[in-house]
Amino acid sequence: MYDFVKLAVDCAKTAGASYADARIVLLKSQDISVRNGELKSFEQAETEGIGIRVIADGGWGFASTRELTKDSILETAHQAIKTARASSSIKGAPAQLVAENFHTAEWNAPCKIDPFKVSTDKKINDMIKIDSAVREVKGITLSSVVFNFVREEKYFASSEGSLIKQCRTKTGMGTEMGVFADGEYQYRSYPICFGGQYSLAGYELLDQLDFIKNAPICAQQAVELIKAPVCPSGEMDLILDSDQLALQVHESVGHPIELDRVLGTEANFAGMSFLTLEKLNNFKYGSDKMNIVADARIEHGASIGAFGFDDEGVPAQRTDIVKNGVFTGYLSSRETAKQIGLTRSGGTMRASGWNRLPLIRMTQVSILPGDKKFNELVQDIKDGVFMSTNKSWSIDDKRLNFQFACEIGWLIKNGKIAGMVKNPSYAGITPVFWGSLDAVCDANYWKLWGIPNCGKGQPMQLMDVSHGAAPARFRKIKIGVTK
Amino acid sequence: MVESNQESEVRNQEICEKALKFSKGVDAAVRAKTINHSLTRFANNMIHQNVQEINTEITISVQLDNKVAKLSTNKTDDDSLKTAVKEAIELAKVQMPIVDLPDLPSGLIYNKISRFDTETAECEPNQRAVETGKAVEIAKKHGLNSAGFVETMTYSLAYMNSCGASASHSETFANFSMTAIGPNSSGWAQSASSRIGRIDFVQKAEIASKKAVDGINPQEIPPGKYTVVLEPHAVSDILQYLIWAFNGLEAYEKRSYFTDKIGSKLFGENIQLYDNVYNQLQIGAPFGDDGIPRETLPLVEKGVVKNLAYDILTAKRAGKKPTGQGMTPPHSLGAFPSNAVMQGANNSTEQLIHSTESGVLVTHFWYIRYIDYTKLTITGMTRDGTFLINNGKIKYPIRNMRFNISIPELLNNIELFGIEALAGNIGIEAVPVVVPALKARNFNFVSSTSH
Repeated sequence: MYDFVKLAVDCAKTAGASYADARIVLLKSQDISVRNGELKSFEQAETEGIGIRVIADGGWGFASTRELTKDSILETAHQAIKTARASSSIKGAPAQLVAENFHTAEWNAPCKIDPFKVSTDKKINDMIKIDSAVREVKGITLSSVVFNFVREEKYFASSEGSLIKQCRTKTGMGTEMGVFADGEYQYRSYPICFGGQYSLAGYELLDQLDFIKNAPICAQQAVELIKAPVCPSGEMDLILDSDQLALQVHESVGHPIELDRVLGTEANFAGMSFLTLEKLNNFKYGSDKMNIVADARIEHGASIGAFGFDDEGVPAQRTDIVKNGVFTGYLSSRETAKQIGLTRSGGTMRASGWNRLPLIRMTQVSILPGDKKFNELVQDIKDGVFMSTNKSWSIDDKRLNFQFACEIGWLIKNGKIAGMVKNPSYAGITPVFWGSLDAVCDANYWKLWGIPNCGKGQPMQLMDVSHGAAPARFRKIKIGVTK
Repeated sequence: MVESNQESEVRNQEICEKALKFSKGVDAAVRAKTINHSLTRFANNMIHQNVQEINTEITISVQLDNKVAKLSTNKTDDDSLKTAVKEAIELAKVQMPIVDLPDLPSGLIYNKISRFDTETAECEPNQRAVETGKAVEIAKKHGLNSAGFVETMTYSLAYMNSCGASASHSETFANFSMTAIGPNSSGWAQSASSRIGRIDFVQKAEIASKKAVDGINPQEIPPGKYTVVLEPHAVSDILQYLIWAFNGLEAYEKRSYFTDKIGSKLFGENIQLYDNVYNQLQIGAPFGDDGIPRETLPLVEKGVVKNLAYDILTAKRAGKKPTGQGMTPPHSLGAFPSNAVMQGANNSTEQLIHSTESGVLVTHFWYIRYIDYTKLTITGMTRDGTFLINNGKIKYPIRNMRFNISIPELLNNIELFGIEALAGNIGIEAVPVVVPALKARNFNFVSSTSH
């Protein structure tokens, strides 16, 4: 595979590229679904191919093929050049990249138990056990268990001399348990929505998540939700659980800090950003309790937003995004870093596969823990709601006006949890919302969540990202907005 | 040189035949799909991304003693196909049995649809750049920035199974989308077709630009219920969240709005909705991934819910006929209409505006999500050209608004329909739908944003 990526880059250079890189990606995946005691699907997929990216005559081009042969790679390199020259036919600023040293490296993500060596029998039996434990809860009408395993092997070469191999195993496991009664469907997800928790890990994730103990607790909540009162409306204080805060970070911080979006290149689909360039180091994003980092290194956590090198061959890094409430950093690429005068790319370019162009993507964008215990957050609320696990999410095309809903909530009255509510929701305007943050739980409550389905790009790509968060409190928020 | 559609179909059929030959002795279904996909993307009035993909995906589904496994690969050589089939068989042996697993489809008649256009198939990067250039020049002429894409795709599909079923299809697709951006405004337009020659790039670029120019200095309006005129893409954006609910599996599992509601009048009498891949504006193949031929399926007639979409396994369990939008079983997602057509009327959008005393014109929506799936309530934002209508005319541009609505309520509040068009952010976050513009009352806007 090293020979093929080097060949691709050499072909592209010979054909006229001023810069070229090539990625071969070998992907194997398994998706298994069990629902109400029955196997719903067992699908295994393997795909391989090469994507060649070039700058020629100042324009970008990209071509990809599944055929890993000399002839096909040569033809694809030429196609990439052809595409690049077509790009440059519309006059504009030539593509330029900020400097980066070349790297020769191999990087492997941690994995204790190779999920592809675990027997199908064991996987299905484990899923059936979880399903049975959930359906033992009286009142449950739907139990769904999903397991997903991905092995990715990636080879990268650039015309600047980089040669990198990276291997990762990704495991995702989750349950949804629901009750359909009186024309209503209420459900709970464990450990999180979006199909479950995803990690750079192997089958050992199953024991870490302890479904047999935890899923029935959520199932019981689903049963109680049917009879629970609807979340009241009004301006109240809000505590977001770690999982919902992770999504809040994703939508109202992670996306607006993507520098390609700021510079207008996503305007037709994903939108732009309210974080225009003059705001860098000059904008109060939130209260001084708001501290956000983007850290792709394994040291931050072995979640799916971590890697060794991005798809431009730039090593994983940590970037301060918000420090004590002040906006301090974007997610950048070699091209966008050059455009705004940064001395180095933040190393955030990734593509979902060999057949896609790398784009700026979130890595592990996390809100750092504070110093509070959870009961301290509750005790200081007269009238509020604690919400957990996302159910609905929507935000405008510059990442300002948002509305979210959660699976479950609990009222807080005079410093105490005062009863479950269903259909909780809240809305806000991004910097006003973050400005109302006044307390964050400490590191004991902090969890790193892996989200496998962040969508961006034309053609569309789904990307693995991660967000770490601990429960946090926000004051005077519009709650109960979806009635 | 571009492979002709016949060559591509034949090649995919050969792949299917080989895979079936290697699986001799077991029931198997094979689907082979080849795509050649190119997309030229522009922003800031220049091309900034320009991509092409060539790929073939083969899905092998093996059924053995009521056990099923599915394996996909993109390697087409004989050794790889043999390995894939062998692995699929071994995987099938260790699955949980599905007691009522239906037999593979057989003895079915497949229609052919002609949707292949040589000009689209042979479209080169230079041609896409030329069309992009036209759009960019129009934006520049109006003093605007522009972003968007020109996309062309060719795909060829073959399905075969060990019970003798055999179907094939090939198709081209072209898509153009443009956002024109002013100092504090934006406008948008899109056009899609199986033929690039049917897309009027200049016209669409002018429409997007005019919206951006007319949208400068938007004003804020208070939240409330408004009469709305929704252009076809806005209707498409909402309709996606209705058609996914016509899923027979979800209704069978009692977690759907349509559970136990077939035959009920849920919408206005003026609602006629079908799943019809044969509609002349539509795109897509005349059979599903499960090998079931597609027929026109009435979903709603005179406001009465008529049918849901059924995959082959759920159909058997529910005592219904499979409708051709499903995947080979088992599949956790079931089936939903993939080519919806909503009947319109012979009114232009201008006529809908002219008939409105007070209301809001919406170009399209953004980030629609369910609030409650079983009640079909949704939220989202307007985008790229939202205007206040007063006394039958556009009065001024307004800031984008968030809405919270009930889709059933909307479909009971439609006053007028416009002319049908193919719409949807196809391939990115939507299935192709043919929908008209429409005018409806009591559309609930709950807040506005800064732009």
